[in-house]
Amino acid sequence: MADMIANLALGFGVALSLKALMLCFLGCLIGTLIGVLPGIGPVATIAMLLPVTFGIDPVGALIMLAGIYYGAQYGGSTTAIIANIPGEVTSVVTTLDGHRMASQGRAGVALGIAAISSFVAGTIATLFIAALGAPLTRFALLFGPADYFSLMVFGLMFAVVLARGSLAKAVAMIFTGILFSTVGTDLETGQARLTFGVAEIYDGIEFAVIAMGIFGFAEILRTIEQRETRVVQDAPIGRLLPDLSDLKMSSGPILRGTFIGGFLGLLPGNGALLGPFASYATEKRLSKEPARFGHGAIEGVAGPEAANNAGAQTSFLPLLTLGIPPNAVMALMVGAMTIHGIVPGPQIVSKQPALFWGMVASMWIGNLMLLVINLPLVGLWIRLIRAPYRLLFPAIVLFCCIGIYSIDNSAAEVGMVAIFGFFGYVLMKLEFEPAPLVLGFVLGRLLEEKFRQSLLISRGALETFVSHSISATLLALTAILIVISLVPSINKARNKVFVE
Amino acid sequence: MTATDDTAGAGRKSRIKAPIEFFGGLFLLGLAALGFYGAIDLPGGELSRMGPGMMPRIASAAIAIFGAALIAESFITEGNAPERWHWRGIVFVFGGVLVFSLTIRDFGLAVAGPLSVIISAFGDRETRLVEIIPFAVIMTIGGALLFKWLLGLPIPLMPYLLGY
Repeated sequence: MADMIANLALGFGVALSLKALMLCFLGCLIGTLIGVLPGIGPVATIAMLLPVTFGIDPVGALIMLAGIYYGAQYGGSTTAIIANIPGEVTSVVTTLDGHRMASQGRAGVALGIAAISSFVAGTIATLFIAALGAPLTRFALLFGPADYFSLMVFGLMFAVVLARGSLAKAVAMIFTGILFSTVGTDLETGQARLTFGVAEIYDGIEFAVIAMGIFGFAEILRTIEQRETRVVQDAPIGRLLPDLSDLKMSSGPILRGTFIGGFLGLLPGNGALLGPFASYATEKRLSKEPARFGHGAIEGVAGPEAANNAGAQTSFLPLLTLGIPPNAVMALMVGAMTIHGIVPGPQIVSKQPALFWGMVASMWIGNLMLLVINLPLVGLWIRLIRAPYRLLFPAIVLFCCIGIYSIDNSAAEVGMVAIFGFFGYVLMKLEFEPAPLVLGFVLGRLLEEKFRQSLLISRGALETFVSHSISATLLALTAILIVISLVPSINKARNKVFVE
Repeated sequence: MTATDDTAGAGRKSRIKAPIEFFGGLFLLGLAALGFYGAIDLPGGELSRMGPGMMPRIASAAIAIFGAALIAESFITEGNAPERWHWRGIVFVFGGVLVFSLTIRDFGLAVAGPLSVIISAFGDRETRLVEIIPFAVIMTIGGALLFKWLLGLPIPLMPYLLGY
């Protein structure tokens, strides 16, 4: 406990410097600015804004990127409430009751409660991370290569279960991602793999290129095609601050949502995705009048928003303590860290405590800033959402191009975005989920490395994965996950969750 | 890709019950073939000393198996046809991106910026030239201000005129 306070004090010392505060503020502001644009989720936002942080020192850059992430998340919720367009899967739930509230003239209250629940969830999640960071790091040091391998297998399987649609297609996407990750120079032998003689990919495919192509551009094309169905709410925004009865109704859902989301966010394989859905289902079940849900119930906004934000924060933990990114956003963070010469993993906490605790502290400050900048600027966000898409998307295309070019000063990588964008479009039309592919790509290299290492140590004996207790436990969990997801009734329920 | 009856041949009713799974399977088989071909010269090694070719082959084999399974499924279970493709968006949006990538080095942002905005804008039917041209210029100036001067990133502006 004393440790935790000393660590947090160190963190706040870093995060409260004028420069860190400015970066955090700027990150939140431009993150929201881009995230609020319809059809741009946090992944595309971060990929686009990655170069913005290049000129800054590592701690500052990560503080700013975290700010961008929270901003993009909150921007997504705003779009969900005002325009009924979820920026990403996690804000789908917010559209259910949030948009209903907006059409009843309570858009302001919906936005207000979303900001308040995010802030409360963020505060609790920050404490949670501060408390768990050190013990988890000690635990991570026990991990051998076989354990790492099995943890990643578990994470990938979890991502498969969370993907909507057919399980077989999702697993195929995982392997596609792994195949893409092998492109480039083999780290052990130095041989070029699957490069087909193209010099630009000898260092492998840049993650931002894949993320931007598959998430960003496929989404732009989808939005252009579906233009006719977009409805922007014209009802008045109303007052922003929820009244006492609103707060009373929301307090339970916020606390429950925080714990549900915070816990799920810890799971590898993007468990945070599940948070808002689980929270919504819980609140609906606990409610005395479940019929109100879907018709503008404030609990249906407060709980999922809290879960969303708590999960967004706790998903930093697997990255910072184990070095394993649990989702696409965290994979982009790895990219940013690598650019600044930081290797994510258990050594961060011991060797760079200022970085780790500074980031933890800035998470809380970032949440506070969101509350302060978002509510007064609501008018601006709404004007942005209402801007005609025929002008928005070409501007998005331009900034994506500039962003990708700036990562490596490479014109070829801009062209590759077009190729992966088209690939993403084909995936969309053939109903393949892109999320498992991206996670497979992100973990592919590490997975191969740990697989090779384990088998080198065990001299080719595959039993090594079951003879280590941590590894065996994780593989058993994976097997249970597979069995559960194959049970027809659960499989049906899984599909229903995503349809709802 | 849109007409599913093509695959069945003239006069015969298609036996493919789920065209979307059928094309999905073909797509995966194509990917797997590409993976195998790209790793054709790489030594696979053995489990105790894996070579660079092992992982690409494992992944490609798995993709091929799922591809074959999807094709088999498409003959058994009923399913949808793939959604229609909208070529207009594909051609203009990616055209804009490709033009940016081809012109940025030699002509700088001053040319690549407006071109990419204007070309990609035509991916949408509602785009009007009188509106998009001034908008493209403003956005390019904004991008230059933000990335070049504010952030100091080395993006070429007008190499032929200014030298950077």
